[in-house]
Amino acid sequence: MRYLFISVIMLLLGCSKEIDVELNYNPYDPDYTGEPSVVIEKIEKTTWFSYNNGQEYEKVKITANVKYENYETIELYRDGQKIGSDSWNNELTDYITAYWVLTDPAVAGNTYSYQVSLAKQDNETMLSSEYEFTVP
Amino acid sequence: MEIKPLVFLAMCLVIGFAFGQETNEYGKIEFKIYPMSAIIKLDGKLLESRDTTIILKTGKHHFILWAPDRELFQTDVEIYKDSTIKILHELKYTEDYLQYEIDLIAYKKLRKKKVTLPFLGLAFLGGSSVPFFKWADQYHAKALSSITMYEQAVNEQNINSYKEKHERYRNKYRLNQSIGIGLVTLTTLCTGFYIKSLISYYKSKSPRPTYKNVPFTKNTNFSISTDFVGNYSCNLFIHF
Repeated sequence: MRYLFISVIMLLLGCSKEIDVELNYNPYDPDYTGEPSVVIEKIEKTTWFSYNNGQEYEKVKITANVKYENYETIELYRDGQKIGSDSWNNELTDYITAYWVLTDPAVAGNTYSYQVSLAKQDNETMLSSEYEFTVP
Repeated sequence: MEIKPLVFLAMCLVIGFAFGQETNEYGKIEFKIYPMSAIIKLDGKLLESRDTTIILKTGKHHFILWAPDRELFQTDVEIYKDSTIKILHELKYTEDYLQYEIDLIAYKKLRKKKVTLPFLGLAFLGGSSVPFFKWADQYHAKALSSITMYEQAVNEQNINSYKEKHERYRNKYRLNQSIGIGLVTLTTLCTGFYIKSLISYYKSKSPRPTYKNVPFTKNTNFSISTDFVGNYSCNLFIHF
């Protein structure tokens, strides 16, 4: 009888569906403790150009490793200040390249700290690690 | 000696009148016997009727009343001219039958106590776990749904709301699941004891009491069959 009893209990415990999930893995969650959802791999200061109004613009090319798909734009930060927002190609590939046209061009020879974040509906994920870049 | 035809005729008339007077004296008897199916014998003849009124000649008459499982009852009744005698009688059960009834009730009571009631209790106990598992399933589905919603959310308020819902549903799922498992565990344990008790009960069980009907012919020397029981026609007048 005791074997029957033990068997039934084991069967019941085996069939029970435990939900062992801690909800803290959404990058938009303030309690998020995982890796940054986007990592800057490479920054290239590509071209300088000016529109017809004579204003000079800087076109920056950043290659980043995006680890989370739920976003609409990529936000660019330079020395902690947001300097641009771009709707990236939104291709669901590991590495994405984006261009920002900056109205506040970086000064050649200076070193800046760049960060990016993913954004959707005015909500942003945590910033990526800082990427030091000296403007050529 | 020569008897004249006229005198002979007169003598016959006198004798005939005298005997005629005697046979015209009747009384009535009314029966109300319980059970209704009882056999009634009057002066050795079976009355094929119940709840009857019978007209009888005056004088002493012998009645026998009997029914299955009942004591035989017999009595003499004196019938007087133009009188009505009512016989109201309920046949008593035989001692053997009463003992059989007591034994049967005790037998059924013991079986109910050892077999039926525990079985019903187990069925109830086992069955009561079903809704808890059902609720657990519902809360499990809701908890999973809140995970999906959490994963898709980008707004902080929504994120916190789904986290809170998930926590609540998960706790309810765990509670219902635990109660269900507890009840099944208890049912299993009780089933074990029940089986053990059943085995012991059937091993030591006394046979079901039986009672053999005593046929009417055993109670009286009249040769009639008990097949008559319950086949009487009603309200029959019998003249003797």
